[in-house]
Amino acid sequence: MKKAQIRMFETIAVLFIFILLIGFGLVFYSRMHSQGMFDRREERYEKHAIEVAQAAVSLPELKCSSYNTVVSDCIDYLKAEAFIEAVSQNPGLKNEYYFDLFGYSRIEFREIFPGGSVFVIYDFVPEDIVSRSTFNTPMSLYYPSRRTYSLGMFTVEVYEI
Amino acid sequence: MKQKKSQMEIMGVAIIVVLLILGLLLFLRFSSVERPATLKEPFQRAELASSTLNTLLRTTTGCGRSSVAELYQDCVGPQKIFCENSDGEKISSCEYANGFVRIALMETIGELKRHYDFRVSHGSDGVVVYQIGDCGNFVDKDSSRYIIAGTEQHIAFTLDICG
Repeated sequence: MKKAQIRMFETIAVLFIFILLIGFGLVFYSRMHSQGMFDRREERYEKHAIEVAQAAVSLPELKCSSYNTVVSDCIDYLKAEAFIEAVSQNPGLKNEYYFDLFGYSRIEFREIFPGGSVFVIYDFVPEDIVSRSTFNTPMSLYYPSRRTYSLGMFTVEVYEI
Repeated sequence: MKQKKSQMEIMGVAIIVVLLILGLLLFLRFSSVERPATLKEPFQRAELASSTLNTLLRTTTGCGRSSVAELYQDCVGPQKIFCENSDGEKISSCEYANGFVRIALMETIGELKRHYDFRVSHGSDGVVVYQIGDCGNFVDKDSSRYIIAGTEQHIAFTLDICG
């Protein structure tokens, strides 16, 4: 092999390694960049889900009160019943007012003790769901006529489309 | 001239080696970084501790119309309340409250696959009335504490959500 040919191979090898390094760098950078974007999107979505959960938990339309004082972590049975009826009779309420507040989500209360009833308070499930975030928190259901508190689970499921 | 050329070649190799090491270091630096805990997790844990304790203590039990808090007030005080268990046997307010709390926690926090520690104590010495849970050596935990007045001494309820 001639000396010039060896030189040429040498140059090609150096160029190849150089291009390989640049390639690795680009792949690495793009992966980091896309991961960062995914994390930011995830964080934004989680913030939204937390906001929806907090809004649902402290909805004045459902909250128990005693002598004008709000009782925390409690749903009034009569208020919940009236709310569900009002929303079912006025689709505009759900599609406009409450959609602005809760967006695509499902809010339900499941009684654990003593009964086993389930109330779906809000339900707006999209057709295509990318991901969902669920918040569960124990909550009391107050029956004003009996003046008793039952134990239940309040579930807020927020959907990302 | 020849010596200068070989020096330059060595420089080139050195640069490539430096670049390789730099790339490796960067890769190790970013790949070993643990992803930060999500926003949702601490929020949910803190929320769960306080709401569970609030809800549990006010729940009307199957023992008359007494709440869990009232049963414990009787338990550390006059012990005048007697309840019926599922077999129809008469049991003390303490026994009934402990059984109720155990099942209620199992069906709420337990269903969410969470670890917890629940403790009821009374008096300034903190005499433990009831304790249940499996927190063990968990470092991450959120606590909620609720104190109510008993007939003679106060009663403290503590709930830790761990993990």
